[in-house]
Amino acid sequence: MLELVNVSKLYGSVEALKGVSLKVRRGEFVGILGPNGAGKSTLLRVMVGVEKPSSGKVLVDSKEPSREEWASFRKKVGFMPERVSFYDNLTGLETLLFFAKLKGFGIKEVERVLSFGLLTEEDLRRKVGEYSKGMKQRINVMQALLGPPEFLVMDEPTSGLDPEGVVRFFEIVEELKNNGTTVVMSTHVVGEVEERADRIVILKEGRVAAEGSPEEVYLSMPVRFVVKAKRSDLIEVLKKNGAASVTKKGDFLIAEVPPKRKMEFLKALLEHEDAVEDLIMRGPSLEEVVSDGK
Amino acid sequence: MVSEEVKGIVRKEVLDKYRTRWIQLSAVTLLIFTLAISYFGGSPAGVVGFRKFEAVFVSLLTLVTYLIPLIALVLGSGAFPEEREKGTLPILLSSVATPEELWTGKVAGYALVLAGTVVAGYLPALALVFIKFGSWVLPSLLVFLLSSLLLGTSMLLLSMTASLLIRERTRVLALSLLLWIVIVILYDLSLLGLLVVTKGMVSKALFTFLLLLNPVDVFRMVNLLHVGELKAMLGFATVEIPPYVSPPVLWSILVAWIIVPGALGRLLLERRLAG
Repeated sequence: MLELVNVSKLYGSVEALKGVSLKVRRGEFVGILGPNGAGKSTLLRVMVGVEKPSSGKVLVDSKEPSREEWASFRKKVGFMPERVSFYDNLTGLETLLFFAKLKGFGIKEVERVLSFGLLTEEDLRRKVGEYSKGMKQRINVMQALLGPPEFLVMDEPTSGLDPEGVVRFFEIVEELKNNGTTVVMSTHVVGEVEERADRIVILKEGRVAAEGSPEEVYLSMPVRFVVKAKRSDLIEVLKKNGAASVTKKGDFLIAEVPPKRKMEFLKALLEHEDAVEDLIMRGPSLEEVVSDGK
Repeated sequence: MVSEEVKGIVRKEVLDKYRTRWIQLSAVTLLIFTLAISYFGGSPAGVVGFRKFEAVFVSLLTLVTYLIPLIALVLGSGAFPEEREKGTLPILLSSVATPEELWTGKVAGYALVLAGTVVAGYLPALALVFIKFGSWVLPSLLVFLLSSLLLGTSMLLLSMTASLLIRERTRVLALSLLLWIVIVILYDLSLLGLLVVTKGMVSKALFTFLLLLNPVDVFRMVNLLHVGELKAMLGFATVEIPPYVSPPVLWSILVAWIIVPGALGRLLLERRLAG
């Protein structure tokens, strides 16, 4: 449905995206993970056509959209940027009606979004300037849900929401996804996408560091083996059979093994079973993957 | 035909800005100034009150040349930086079908806010002038009001376009104030300086041409062509306006000062969006 081909984005001399290629299929839930400054927000803005890439292409349904096709695509998008404070002088209802009107909808669509229960009618009669950060975030969620969108793109959507709000938010997203909405969301909280996303994309320094289902991403990461050795020559055996590095800590050998050499490493361990007293194999957590960007 | 999206943006701008305190204060300030200046404006000539129409009129004109460009430039400087600071610009850009819709809606909304502020600030004074001097002043007052609005809109579009080029609101505001100083004060001072330095050797054609480049001078010329006796009062006594500088030409220049920055702003917004 949506494809980024070798997309780069420059802001002056800063390269926010460096040759990013990525596909988002219809009906999919894609989680974008990455440390601060990794380029997540820029990637989302390029996806919805709010920013032009400096180079590379954005394809919608396998072709570069014309001006008219972008216009029609944008009408199907619900976009929720991060940290929006909205218009202090407008009430919540006026704010939602404004965004509904921009997308060609009226009060009925606002009432439908109201039925999700994120804000009460009384809240909506108050001016947005009186809202808390969490309430503004709820308005942000609500404006993105107008339509409902076929393509929902959200930048750190749960930031500022209370636990109850987070639960309700994911219930709504789940419902939309079940009805065929494509969901792309960026987050710092790995747990939010680990269980829900069909695919995750890890960005680091403007590049895709890893991509796939959470399981595929785990399998693509180096594994750490902690081996309690009976013999001192085991360290050489491990180094020769797949370990990228081996460090000695007391009786323990800690080996980092690249994903493609795991089996070779395990075979070597089995062949030298007599030298091994015990072992633990530990894959990285997704948090470690994201923060290390390995 | 105006799309529902454009109408939505206009409505939002009008609602939001009319509830903004400094806009309300601007209208009240204009109101106080216009009433005070209409009454006391002729005092340097030894006339107080609504005695001589030309004296009242020239005071109002002077007020417009300073205040309307200032209000318009400050108002327009927040057009896009405010949306950026609030984080709403990406939502707007992802919601509208085309950048023209956003630009048209913003310009129309801001122009309506400015017009409302100007009319609210001027109408009581103009009504008093009309009641005091009679219906013969009506054409001059209408020319005055319309040209004020065109001058304000041109300044508004200049700062709105600048607000697309510069991200930070404070920097756009600084640029807008600089523009105000140049257009309203320095430009005419420079022309006078040119006359003094060259001992009046600058050709009349060149001098008139230079005057026509500044919307504030064009605004003054439009009004003095309608009320001939203003020439000396406005400092144009030495300027001989050539026949080709007719009211239609002057009105066209004022309109061009709206169209050119308007088209530039639209182009800048279009270049930003992917499609």
